Amino acid sequence: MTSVASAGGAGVIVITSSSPIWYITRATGLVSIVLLTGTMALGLLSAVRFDAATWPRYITGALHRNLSFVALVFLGLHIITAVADSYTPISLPDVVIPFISSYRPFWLGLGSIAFDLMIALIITSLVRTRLGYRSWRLVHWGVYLCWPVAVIHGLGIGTDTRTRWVLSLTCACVALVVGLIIWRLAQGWPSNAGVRAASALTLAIVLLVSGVWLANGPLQPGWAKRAGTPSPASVKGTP
Amino acid sequence: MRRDDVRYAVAAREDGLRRVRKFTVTIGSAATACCAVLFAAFGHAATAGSSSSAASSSGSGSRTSGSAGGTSSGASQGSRSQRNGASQGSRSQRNGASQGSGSQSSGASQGSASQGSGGSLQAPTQAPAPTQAPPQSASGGS
Repeated sequence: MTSVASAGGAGVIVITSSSPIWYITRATGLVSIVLLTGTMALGLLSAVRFDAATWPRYITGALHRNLSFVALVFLGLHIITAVADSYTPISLPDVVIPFISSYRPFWLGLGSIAFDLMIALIITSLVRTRLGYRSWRLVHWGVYLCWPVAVIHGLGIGTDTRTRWVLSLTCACVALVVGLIIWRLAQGWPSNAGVRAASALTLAIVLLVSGVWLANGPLQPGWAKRAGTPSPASVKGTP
Repeated sequence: MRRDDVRYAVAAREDGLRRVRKFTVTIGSAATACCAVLFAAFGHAATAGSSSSAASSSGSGSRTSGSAGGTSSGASQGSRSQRNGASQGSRSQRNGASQGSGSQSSGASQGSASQGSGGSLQAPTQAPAPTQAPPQSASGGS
């Protein structure tokens, strides 16, 4: 449906048929990041061996596993709608191969990397018994790359980044995960103080760099152009 | 371990896993509901933004729709219809084409909206789609 309305000859409102798909893409993207944050948080709680009288440890593990599948469903919806949206030139290969898209290639590429990592994490978790614990754990460490990459993908490509509540939601997700990582670093590996210190330093640097980038990038006017959005001049077949 | 203890432990675990399944379904339902709410909010914002933009531009003598000056600086400015930095909207502009313009459109919408009433007409600042947008992005002046 294409709706064109003219308000007394003074205004032109253009609503395209793919707008609902775009809304779904944005909504599922935001929900996915929250679900991924929940999955990450539960994984970190498992890592610090959290349990309580009403919350045994196996519940954390089971919920972590189930939530990751729920997140995958919403992530799938996010990807399907993004590809189905005829406005943005995102194809199926763009979903899995990073940095080949013509639409904001770098930021979409980060999403591809996060998706690939998530698929790898889930597949290796499904075959964990056959893979062996050490190999599985090695792959599972990729979650510490997957989640931040997904968050930066959302901040870099998202059209809602500058909306206050979206920014607040993202900051809350980051604060939760950072808090749990600090807890993990404080509790785990008692014999590896050096690794813990290096991890804490890396975390601080990543947070600092991300904050500076966010303030000077997505939160500034003109970010879309700098992000690599195709310009109208480059569009073929446009009258 | 006595057999009763084993049974009790197994039953407790089954009960816990049942709770996890219930909780998972609840989370999935809540996430779906959140998606629906966000969908409605984005659509509502687009409609409200477009309406307010049309109303504000109707008395100004110049025809402008879309980006409230063509900038992408506000998350909720104008018709909220830019994809390039603003957040909500009817997606008539998504791709950064409107930055700094505000008074010109390009692509399919150019020309069509500048016909008619004279004065300092401004075409709708609708950016063309990178791909097959023209069939969807029809625009019209009076």
